[in-house]
Amino acid sequence: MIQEDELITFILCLGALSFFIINYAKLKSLPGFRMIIISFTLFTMGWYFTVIEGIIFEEVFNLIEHLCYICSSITMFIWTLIFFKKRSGNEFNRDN
Amino acid sequence: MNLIGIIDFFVFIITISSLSFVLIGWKNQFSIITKLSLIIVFLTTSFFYLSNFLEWSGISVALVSIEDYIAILAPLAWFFFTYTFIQKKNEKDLRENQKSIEEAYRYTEFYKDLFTHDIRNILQNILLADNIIEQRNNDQQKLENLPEIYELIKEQVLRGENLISNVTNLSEIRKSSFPIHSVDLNSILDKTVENIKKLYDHRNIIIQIPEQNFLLKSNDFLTNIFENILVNAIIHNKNKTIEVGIKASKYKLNETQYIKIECIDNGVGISDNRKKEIFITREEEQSKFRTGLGLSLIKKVIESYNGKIWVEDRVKGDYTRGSNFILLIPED
Repeated sequence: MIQEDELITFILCLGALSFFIINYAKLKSLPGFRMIIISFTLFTMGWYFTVIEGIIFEEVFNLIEHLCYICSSITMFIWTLIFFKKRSGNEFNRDN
Repeated sequence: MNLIGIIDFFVFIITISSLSFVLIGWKNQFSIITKLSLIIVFLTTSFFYLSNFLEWSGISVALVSIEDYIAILAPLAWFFFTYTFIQKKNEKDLRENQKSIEEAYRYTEFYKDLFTHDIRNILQNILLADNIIEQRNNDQQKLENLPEIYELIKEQVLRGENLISNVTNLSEIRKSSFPIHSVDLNSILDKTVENIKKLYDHRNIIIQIPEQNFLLKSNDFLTNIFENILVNAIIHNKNKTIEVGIKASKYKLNETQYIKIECIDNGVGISDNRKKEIFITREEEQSKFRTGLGLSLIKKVIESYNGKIWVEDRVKGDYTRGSNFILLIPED
């Protein structure tokens, strides 16, 4: 069964992801921005599978959902490392 | 603990580590509002992953009831983080555009000022020469001096040509950065001296260039530099024989190895109070003494080589006996 709050979160994630893609050119100046996109896409996919598991293959999609979350958190962690490294090299100014 | 519980445990730990990086490592990296939204992102996702871990590892289900509502904040915080970042970037771009427009306006004014002043001056000199010729047309004896007047006209035309070439060069220097490479000093000097002698074939000019050769870290604009210095030495010289001696030697300053080039002339010289002013660019100049564009151009080019330029008296304490233009250019 689809839960409304899960569906709302998924739609909000899709909205935020669209915003990232639309503004890709401007956000490119943020070091390692591709990592954010990948991480957030995986996070959104996690919510997609959360919604889907309410309809079919609950156990399979639930596992995939949690795998998406771990991949998302790893890429996000890599992004923080990239960002920290770039900052140390003075390659990035405050708020660009 | 089942597989999903283990996965969620690692997800939570990794997210908390990322949050720690944001809190500890990024001092002054973002504006407060951008940083705050990023912290909210990590806090909400950490809470969501913690709740997942507690639920799937069978420890507690206390957070499940509010888990999804907190999770809703995560995409909103992401959106806000990127939105504030873009806003700041737009503000910065706008400031930069405004700055470049102001700079372009300043340069337009500078070029306008340059042409209205110098070209008018050149045209007035030519007009004056024309008036003299006209007056002398009635006097056969005075017509003998006409070649001098024609020389004056020719000099003014050359001055105009030089001005146009300098403005073009200055504009090019401003527009782009020219790569610096190894330049053979003697070949540049040979070429320049040859050009100058052709240009001023009616004047008696002696130019000595150094015998020893040096390699400099510069580019093709070096020719313009020597041309400008030599033209100035010729124009501002009242002697029958114009003498310019160019010396070159190694010179170390602040751990940098330079080649010191001295261009010593027997011209009218430069008084002490004008020595610094002659290098002031028009855009820096307010109501100060006006000089030709040449020396400000030279200064700009030399600075682009990380070099230095200044002027001294040929004979210390007596500026009227000529000038010594000293250039320091890094050795290759």
